[in-house]
Amino acid sequence: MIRSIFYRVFTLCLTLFVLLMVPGCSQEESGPAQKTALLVEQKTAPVVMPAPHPRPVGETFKIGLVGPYTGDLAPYGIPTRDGVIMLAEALNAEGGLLGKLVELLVMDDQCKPEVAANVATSLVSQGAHMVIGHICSGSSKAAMGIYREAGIVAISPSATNPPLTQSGDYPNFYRTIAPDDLQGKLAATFATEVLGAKKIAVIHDKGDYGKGFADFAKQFVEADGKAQVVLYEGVTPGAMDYSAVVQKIRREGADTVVFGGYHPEASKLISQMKNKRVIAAFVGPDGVKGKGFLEIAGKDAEGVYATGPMDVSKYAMNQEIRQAFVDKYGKEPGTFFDQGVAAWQAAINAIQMAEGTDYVKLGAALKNNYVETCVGKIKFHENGDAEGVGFSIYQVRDGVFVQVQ
Amino acid sequence: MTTQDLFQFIFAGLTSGAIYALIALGFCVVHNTMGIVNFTQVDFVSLGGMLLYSALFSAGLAMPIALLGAVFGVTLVAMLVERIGIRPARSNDPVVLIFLTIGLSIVLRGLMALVWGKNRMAVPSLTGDEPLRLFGAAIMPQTLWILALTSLTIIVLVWFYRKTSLGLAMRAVATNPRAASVVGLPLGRIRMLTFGLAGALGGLAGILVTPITTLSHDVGVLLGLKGFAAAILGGFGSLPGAIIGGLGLGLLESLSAGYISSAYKDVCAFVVLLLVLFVRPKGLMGK
Repeated sequence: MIRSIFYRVFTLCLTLFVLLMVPGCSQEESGPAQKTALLVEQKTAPVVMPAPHPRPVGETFKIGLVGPYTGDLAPYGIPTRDGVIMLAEALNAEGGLLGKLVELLVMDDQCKPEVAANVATSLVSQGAHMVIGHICSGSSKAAMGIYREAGIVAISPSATNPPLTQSGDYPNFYRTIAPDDLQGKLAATFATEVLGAKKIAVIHDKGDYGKGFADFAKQFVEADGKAQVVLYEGVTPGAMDYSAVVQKIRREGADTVVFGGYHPEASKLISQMKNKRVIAAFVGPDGVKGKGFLEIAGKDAEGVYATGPMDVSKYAMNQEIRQAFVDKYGKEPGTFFDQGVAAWQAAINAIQMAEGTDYVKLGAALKNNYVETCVGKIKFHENGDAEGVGFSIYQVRDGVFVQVQ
Repeated sequence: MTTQDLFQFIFAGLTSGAIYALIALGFCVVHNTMGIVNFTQVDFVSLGGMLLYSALFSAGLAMPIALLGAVFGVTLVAMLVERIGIRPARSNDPVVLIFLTIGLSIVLRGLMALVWGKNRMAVPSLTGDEPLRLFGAAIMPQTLWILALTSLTIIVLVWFYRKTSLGLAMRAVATNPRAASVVGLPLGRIRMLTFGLAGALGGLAGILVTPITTLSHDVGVLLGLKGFAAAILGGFGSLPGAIIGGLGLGLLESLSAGYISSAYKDVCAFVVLLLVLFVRPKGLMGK
């Protein structure tokens, strides 16, 4: 009797364990690199920008601003939100746009596709004219169809998944960041052309983002034919150690490791390679290029290559807006800030050019006019990708990422 | 496939296996006295690493002292968990107690995230990072520490259960709680000490493993799942079973990662676990 109760309980807790614990540690979203951060409390209700001085209440341009403002991925959404709010306040203080004020509808999608779809529906019913967002590729995919039906143009600062533009399914989608396949291609050509790699091991973390990058890199290496992919393997994020895969890298005699994934796994892999005296160049994606990697990998990080958005701090406009941000909020802007501000600038410019928010005219304005933004002078291709933005290779030298070339 | 590879995989397997075994032992110890699965075990693992990190970098202690301090710290927290988290429920119903431990586990993880943040941190090895060469395989000193300290812990645990009065009392409570309390054994205190023992085992596992895995507030969750699986493989509640289960699971993972693909190492390990349970539902050493 007691036995049978025990086994029932046992099955129950096994199920509970799997349900409760496992999803908690594998919340990997497609799109930008995942890092953890503190929760920031933010209501999902829209925030209406107050007009700085009383004006006749009239029609406004309603612009949706969507991204993750709570949860693990919040650090990827908050910089864009704060930056755009700052610029919208400034714009309204100067009298708005085409004689109308701009009203921001700020919504939190937590980077979850199911929440994103609700947010999109809600924005449509509130009569949004345009959307800045979403931040993650998965949630962008879920929302774009809804905006397309409603004839709303969306500009994302950070959704890097290639099919968003290349599939042709979302003619209303634009982005101010380069897609992942460019990153994979850059890593592959860098490895073969600059590093002169002959035997490349491609390792990934089995997630959408990491495996996507690794697959593109592998594809380009194979198409190019200058080097051979000697090992292609996935590792489990959070697993205890990667010595089996490190041993395989050694056995295959790889001279370069291309890794797709985030910084915790990259740090583990690189330090185990160093420990086991496996000498090979290490090339990672922008999920590796960050302070987190430098902190965890420590001196093992030295010499590691990673792709990352082009250094845009040289533009005067960028420096100016960053300074304004620091003055207003008292902190450095974070990830995707430049791309977020650029999305806003492109949107405002397009509304001006199109003299309104007509879907066809807006699209033409985005595709036909160059605009000076935080990430340089850009315009959009037919498919929605920006011309003039791209990735560069960085290397860790003396504990900081330095742009190569 | 060279013998060098084989040695490398076996050593990697034994290392993870030893850690799984320590965690599995923690699960069994509590199960034997209280008849429940204690899910806070996974957080004891993370907490061990966290306390070691703080002892080394915030308090600036030397490694041996920091290690002992962290183990005692986790022991203390584990006893507190039993005293203020479990005992006030005044229940013997396993379902109630198990749900309590799940809740407490979430609370502990949340507290750790508040205290230490959610970022990953690096913990140094016990001694150096110079690999030793053994039959052509590169062995990290940390691996040897893990194997040595785990063996030592197992020996001490056996001695503790066989020779000390506290150990005997724990076994008595496990066998027949009512008779144990009739002869005057303080049930509450013994359960609290059992939690402490489980905490020490989990904490030690965390301390030994975080230099390899890096540290975060939820690092113990995945390791705990493996430890739980190891305990089931060996037969839940059986101490030798926990050790055999842990080492077996570690070796399975490492060899399948090495000779098949590391993409499938969890699959291989869990498929074998299922097969064993089909044939022997009570696990390898289960009674």
